[in-house]
Amino acid sequence: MRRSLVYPLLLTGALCACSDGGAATPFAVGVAQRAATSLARGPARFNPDRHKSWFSIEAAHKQSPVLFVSDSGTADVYIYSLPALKVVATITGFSQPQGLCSDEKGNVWIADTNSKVIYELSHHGRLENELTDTDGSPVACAWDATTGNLAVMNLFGTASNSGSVLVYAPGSQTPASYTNPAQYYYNFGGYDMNGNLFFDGRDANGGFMLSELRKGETSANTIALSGGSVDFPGMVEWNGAKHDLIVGDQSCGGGYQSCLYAVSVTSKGGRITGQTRLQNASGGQVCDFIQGVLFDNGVAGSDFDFCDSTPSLTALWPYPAGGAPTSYNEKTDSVPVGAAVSK
Amino acid sequence: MIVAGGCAQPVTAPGFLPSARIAPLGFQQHPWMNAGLAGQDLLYVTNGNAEVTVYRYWQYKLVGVLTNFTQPIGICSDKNQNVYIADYGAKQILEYPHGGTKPIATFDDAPDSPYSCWVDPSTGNLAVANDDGTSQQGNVAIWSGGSTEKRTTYGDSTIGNFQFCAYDNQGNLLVTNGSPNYPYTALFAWLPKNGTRLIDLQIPEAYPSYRTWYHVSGLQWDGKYLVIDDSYALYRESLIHGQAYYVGATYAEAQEEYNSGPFGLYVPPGGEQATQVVDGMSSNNYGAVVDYWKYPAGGSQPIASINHALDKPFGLAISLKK
Repeated sequence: MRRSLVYPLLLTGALCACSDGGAATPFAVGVAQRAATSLARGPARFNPDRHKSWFSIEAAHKQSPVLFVSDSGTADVYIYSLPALKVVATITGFSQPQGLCSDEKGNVWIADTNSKVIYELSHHGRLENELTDTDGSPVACAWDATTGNLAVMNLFGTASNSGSVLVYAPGSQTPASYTNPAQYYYNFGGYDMNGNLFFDGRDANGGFMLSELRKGETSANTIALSGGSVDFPGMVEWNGAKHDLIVGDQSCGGGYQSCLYAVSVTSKGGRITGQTRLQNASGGQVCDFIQGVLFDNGVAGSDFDFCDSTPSLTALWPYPAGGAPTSYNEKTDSVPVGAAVSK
Repeated sequence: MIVAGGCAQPVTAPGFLPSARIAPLGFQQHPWMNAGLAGQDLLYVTNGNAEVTVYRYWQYKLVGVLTNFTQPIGICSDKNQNVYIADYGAKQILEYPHGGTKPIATFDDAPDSPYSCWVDPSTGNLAVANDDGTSQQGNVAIWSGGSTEKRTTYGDSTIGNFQFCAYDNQGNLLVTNGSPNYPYTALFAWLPKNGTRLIDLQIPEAYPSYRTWYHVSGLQWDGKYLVIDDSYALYRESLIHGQAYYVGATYAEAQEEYNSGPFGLYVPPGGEQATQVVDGMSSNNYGAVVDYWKYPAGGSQPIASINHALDKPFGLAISLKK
């Protein structure tokens, strides 16, 4: 069911209508003010964050690639410049923003788990569309370049049952539902260039699963992994340059550290062919890299650092080399989750 | 197996300490307990008169009274069915065996004041939420493996004092300040298994248009989900890798309530999830009562009640038969 566009928490002051032809914003062009928004490290006291969204002139006008990052601690979505990772906008009004994905227009979709809504924002942060999810708790999404379809991963169902993948055709509010019968939790997903959807999650016992919904099929299949194992599902993205999947592990080796795996997928299954370890700004291991996104020979995303006193941060790392970040920002994040590049 | 303890609704402000009548030692009756209770499920209740009354869970019959406390508030049990009573006034936690009248261990919590407790079944760690009022900042104290010697404390300047805590089945500990003073916003944090610090945590509620918890009076684990007791409802939350997800709610309508406490959950042996919830309350019109409800169904009327030997009941814990 489509929600009214006058949904008060997200429009008129919450989500920006910037100088791309939209309505006037609370912040006049030529003036960049930093409105009171989230705390840098503490949780928002009241959610949704009812402060006004903030947009710099750079965010309002430039068309260069930017990085959207969701933060479930502050309930905000930040826009960072690339590659410098300077905050150029803060978008408020969400309830529990998590996984992100982007399309060819540069629009970014945001899965708001607690609201059960998937918001579509323009490159400049303007609200373009909303999709309501009545089946479960949406935590991530993926956009299919071959059809324009949007796939949404529901972590679990509304009746405390297993999750699913909902696929919304362009302009449709009624999705088709797909599952892998062996899978219970559905986490992250990504389409390859042929319209096949790969997604990860866990079975009912908590065991990691990687699945594929081939284009045109009505049910997803399990991809058996070899060459290693994944403990806790993280990002899933097709790497067109390498013709393989990037699969994230939020508990690499079973501990509090994250890594990325390159997975070669054939008809025989998935084989882990490489591992990438990321470091934080202090040279330590990244604690919890929930979702990342490929950008310009690197991977961008955030480290939710609950492991020790190291600050959480958003960064850009070399990929597949990993190691120290080439740029980072550790002043913004509370509980950073999702990442998507808008070009 | 494990049934939650917790603490009663605060009555007075500031500090929200239970309005217990602190009975001085020497004037209390001697503790007593019927014999032959090893084969009985027991319900333990902390009371405002500084007594802990014990009932046969299914028969609602008083079978014992534990005394010699200063101000017992929180109460919890472990997988061995031992019962831990947090004596706020004495700054200690006493461990009793199932159906026993003498403590088998004493956990010295000084200089902190224990409000509630929880035992991690996988490690035996005893976690205690400490609310030190205005004298000092509270903390969460953990005795490793249940040893009375290995105590570690964890603080959080955002939260201040702590009133409730509960472990999930992954060894993660959820904590909260419960019902604080103005601006009356309950805050949450979690301690990851083997973690070294508390991490502030946003917990989504049933209504996404606002997400402010303002009166949390208990935290439990129902065998499958973490359960937050907020006003008249129990909210089930799933804590997955540092992210909390709202699952559902149980509504149990009550009579006029004062001093309504946290809920206790009955998880049957070998069962996956709790099947009953018990809560204690007292009011001018209805006196003191412990009600039983179906869980997770809840309902408009309790399925059973205990209304004898109670005095402003606060915490509840169930110790299953051996």
